[in-house]
Amino acid sequence: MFFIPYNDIETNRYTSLPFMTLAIIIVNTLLLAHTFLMMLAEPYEFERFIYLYGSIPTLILSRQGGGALSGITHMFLHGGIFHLFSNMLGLWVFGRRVEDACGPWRYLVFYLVCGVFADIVSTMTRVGDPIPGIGASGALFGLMGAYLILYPRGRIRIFLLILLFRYRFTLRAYWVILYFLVFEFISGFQVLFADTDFQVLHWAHLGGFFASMFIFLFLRPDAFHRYRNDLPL
Amino acid sequence: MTSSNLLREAVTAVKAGQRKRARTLLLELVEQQPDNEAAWLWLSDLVDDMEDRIIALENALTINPHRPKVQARLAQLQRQQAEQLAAWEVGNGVVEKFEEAMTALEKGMGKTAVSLLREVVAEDPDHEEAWYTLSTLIGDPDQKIAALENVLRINPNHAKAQGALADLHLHHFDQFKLGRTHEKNGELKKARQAYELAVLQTSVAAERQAAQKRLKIIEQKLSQSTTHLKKTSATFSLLRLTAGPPLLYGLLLIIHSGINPLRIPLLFYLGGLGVLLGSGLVAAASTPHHPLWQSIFGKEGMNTAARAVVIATGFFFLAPPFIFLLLNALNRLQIYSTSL
Repeated sequence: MFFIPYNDIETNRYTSLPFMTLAIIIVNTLLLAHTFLMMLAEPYEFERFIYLYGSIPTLILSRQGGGALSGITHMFLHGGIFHLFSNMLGLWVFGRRVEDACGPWRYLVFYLVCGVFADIVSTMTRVGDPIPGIGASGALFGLMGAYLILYPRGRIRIFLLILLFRYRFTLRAYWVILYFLVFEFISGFQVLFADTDFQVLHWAHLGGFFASMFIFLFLRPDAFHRYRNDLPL
Repeated sequence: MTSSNLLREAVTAVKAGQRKRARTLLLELVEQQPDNEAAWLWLSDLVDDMEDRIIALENALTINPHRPKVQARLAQLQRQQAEQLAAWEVGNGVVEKFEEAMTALEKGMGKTAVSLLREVVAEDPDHEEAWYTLSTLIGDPDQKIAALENVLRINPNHAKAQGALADLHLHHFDQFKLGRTHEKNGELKKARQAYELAVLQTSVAAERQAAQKRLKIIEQKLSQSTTHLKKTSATFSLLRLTAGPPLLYGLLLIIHSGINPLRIPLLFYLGGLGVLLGSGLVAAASTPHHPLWQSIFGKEGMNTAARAVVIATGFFFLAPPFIFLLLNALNRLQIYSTSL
């Protein structure tokens, strides 16, 4: 079964063009293209590239490697087209309205905060793990959390594929985000208590989600005023 | 001509259908013979005016009071006359009120006009024009429909009422247009309700966006009209917006220190102060109407040029700590890369 949110049908209040969201998507896409070309030319260089700029807990905790730099660069690297596509689709669905509520530059700082916070939480749950963590999903879950705080009743278009049957419908944001959170919490607890090893870093996702509480430091003054007075954003 | 001849000629004329000639002959006869009962009786059927009929019958009864049928006929006519008179009196009052309503409408006193028109239709439920005028003045769609239905009950061929009713029935289920109607009438809460329904009802994306756009405008208008909103002070906004970049800097330092803040060199803490100062200045530019800026720049607060200068100064303090941290990280990376 594939449950894919693919669009947010609400309109923005302040700006119509989400240029920072688009910029992040473009940068991620270009970097993936670069890593693919690198892989074709020099497979060893690609692996070296990931180990240099990915987030490796053993290096972080021993204060080796990129440190703060890898805290940022890891969220712009992806392992493949599907990895990139799923993250960028999520960014498109949830990021636009958060950018609208914050303004493009505060939105970028918030995005980075969520990604770095996700990295810290992931590192603390993967002590001794030498495998690099990459991807924007920590930051993405931060945006999802912010969307849930600001627009819980926002309508999200969903594409559902069950075997060969396709369905398209609209759901409230809280249902969509709850769906993803449940899986993350279940998987996260399996990692902690059942020592299950997943390829996906679920605690990075959850860390990013917890970082969404910082959204109030980045909202436009008018958006904050509206939120505070229960006025629609 | 003799009176008997006049009577005979008149009766012949009546039977021949020559009512006018018969009337003329009978009038000549009653001039000659005012006490000719037969002439008065024939005349009562030939005159058109009810008053004249009554007079003719009264004259006939004066001459010969013992005519029950004539008495019954006179009583019937008198009843009809009384009814007509009563109807005329009501009509006269209704006419005056309707004229007053039209005058009020011309003077722009819509509410007075509506009130008077309601009185008119209460007294005369078949007043077509009053119902139609009322339908154009009432805002509530249900009452409008009722007024127009009354117009069509009185006059089924009233083209304007038919058109207006058809539009209303369409609008009544078209929540977006209903919302526009309410908005024009200044009924913002009803407009918001209608637009919310329009957003839910329509499956066309463009229509939904249009309804959402109007909904936002209505909500802005409603929020501006409320006075119980919690105010957010400019100082609080300034402090809130200042916290973001230092938070990012702090998290990067935590990663850089191996998630051990005790291993962060003092220089980076000093850099944190620079980040705080720079962030504060950038945040200040986002709150140009803060009382501090108003005391410096006047009531308008920080102008565009001043904001640009403040932002530039802010970045002057904000950027170097980040750059220094990232250069330090690059240095570590280079050392690590040689080992790969």
